[in-house]
Amino acid sequence: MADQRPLWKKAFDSVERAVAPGLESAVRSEGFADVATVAMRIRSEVTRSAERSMRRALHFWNMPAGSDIKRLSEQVASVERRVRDLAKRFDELAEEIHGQRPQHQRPRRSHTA
Amino acid sequence: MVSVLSTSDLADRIRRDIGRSVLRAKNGIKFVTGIGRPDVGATPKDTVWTRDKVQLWRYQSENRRYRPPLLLIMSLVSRSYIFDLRPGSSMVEDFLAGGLDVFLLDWGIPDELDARNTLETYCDEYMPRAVDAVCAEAGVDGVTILGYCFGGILSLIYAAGHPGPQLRNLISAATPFDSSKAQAFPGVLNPGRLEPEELFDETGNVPPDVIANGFQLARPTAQITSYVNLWENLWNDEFFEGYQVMDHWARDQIPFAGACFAQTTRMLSRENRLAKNTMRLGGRPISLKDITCPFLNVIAERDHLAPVEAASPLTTAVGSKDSTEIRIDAGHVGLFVGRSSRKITLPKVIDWIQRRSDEL
Repeated sequence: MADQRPLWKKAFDSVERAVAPGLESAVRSEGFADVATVAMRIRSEVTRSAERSMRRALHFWNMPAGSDIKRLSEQVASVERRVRDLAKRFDELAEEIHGQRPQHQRPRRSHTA
Repeated sequence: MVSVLSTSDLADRIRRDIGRSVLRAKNGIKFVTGIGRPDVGATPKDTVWTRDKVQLWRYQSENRRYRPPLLLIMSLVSRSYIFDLRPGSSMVEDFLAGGLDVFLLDWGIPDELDARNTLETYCDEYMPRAVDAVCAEAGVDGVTILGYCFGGILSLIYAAGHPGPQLRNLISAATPFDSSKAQAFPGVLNPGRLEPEELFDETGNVPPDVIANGFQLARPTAQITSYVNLWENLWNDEFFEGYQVMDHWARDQIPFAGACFAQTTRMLSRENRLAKNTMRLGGRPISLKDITCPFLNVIAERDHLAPVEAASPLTTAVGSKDSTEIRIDAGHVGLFVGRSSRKITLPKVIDWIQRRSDEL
């Protein structure tokens, strides 16, 4: 069957075929991994530093910063986690008593298109 | 040789190109705005069990002809609707048509609350209970499990950690078993470089864009090639509809629970414990040799995330006497999505399951 691809696509495919293996081996090289590691660490440090400055500014005006929200959200998650753990302990107790895993968490909800 | 077009051929070509440009413009607007994106996960189903954010769905069917039921296990970083992409291109539809009773375990989207989920949470807590729920719901004493991608890893760990008659058959598809040969996150998470915790966001999980970038590094030109293919075929409504829904799925990744990611990086990627058969779950050693049920390893020959050399050793690593490997000329996603999947992969998988199931 004749090749139906337009000329520009044929050109792109040949360039891609020539370039891709080199790029793939480059990103798998030790050098790339080193550079990527440093780049990610720099990005994290820049973000942290920007957050620190922003926090100072917001706190100066007595406003909550992202880190305050984060701390609150962590506290809520921690409480929720404890509730979840307690519920699971109840389940385990029920398992011990009934000798099988409880099936009470079996809501039946239908989803239709 | 230079071919000379006749006037009528030239007119036809101009007419065709104008028509295609109009269609390109129409589909281009749809792509950018997301308008007209086909519905995903549309096969009717019931939620039959939940725990935390995990849901177990059973797909409705009047055609259940085989036992045990089939339980689909998805990776932790992708949405499970890849199993039921759209009408006419849905694995679930094909399994149902094959007379199977299909369940899917959907992990939900992790947030702060799930940041401490570990492999034990998934393989020792959720999966055994989900399997119990499948058995109770279907009135059976065993299941067939199909794990896709990292879902295959979870299924293997569960199966090795919970050997017994409840697992009748196990299928692992596109599973990067030997991490030393897998290619996501090349190098950056090796010892001495980034620690997994450095990738966590404020929720304590790894954000989806970091995961997506890690996957993209395995094939740096994939994204641009994909856009070029889109441009070439943007006039083709059928191609465009498939592309639109796949592109949506590929971008719709979910966070990876932080503790599980750290554990996966250290135990599976760095120490390659699953392939070295030194894996521990909940402090106890587990061995893939304890998996003795019939086993099917489905490998995509053009898979860049779970290449053949990373997936194939699994076939002999399990303890099953009935261990089969099938290789399909497909990529990581194309294995179960698209026309060739419906023609080649799924019929083979369904036939393998049916031969190892009881007909009702």
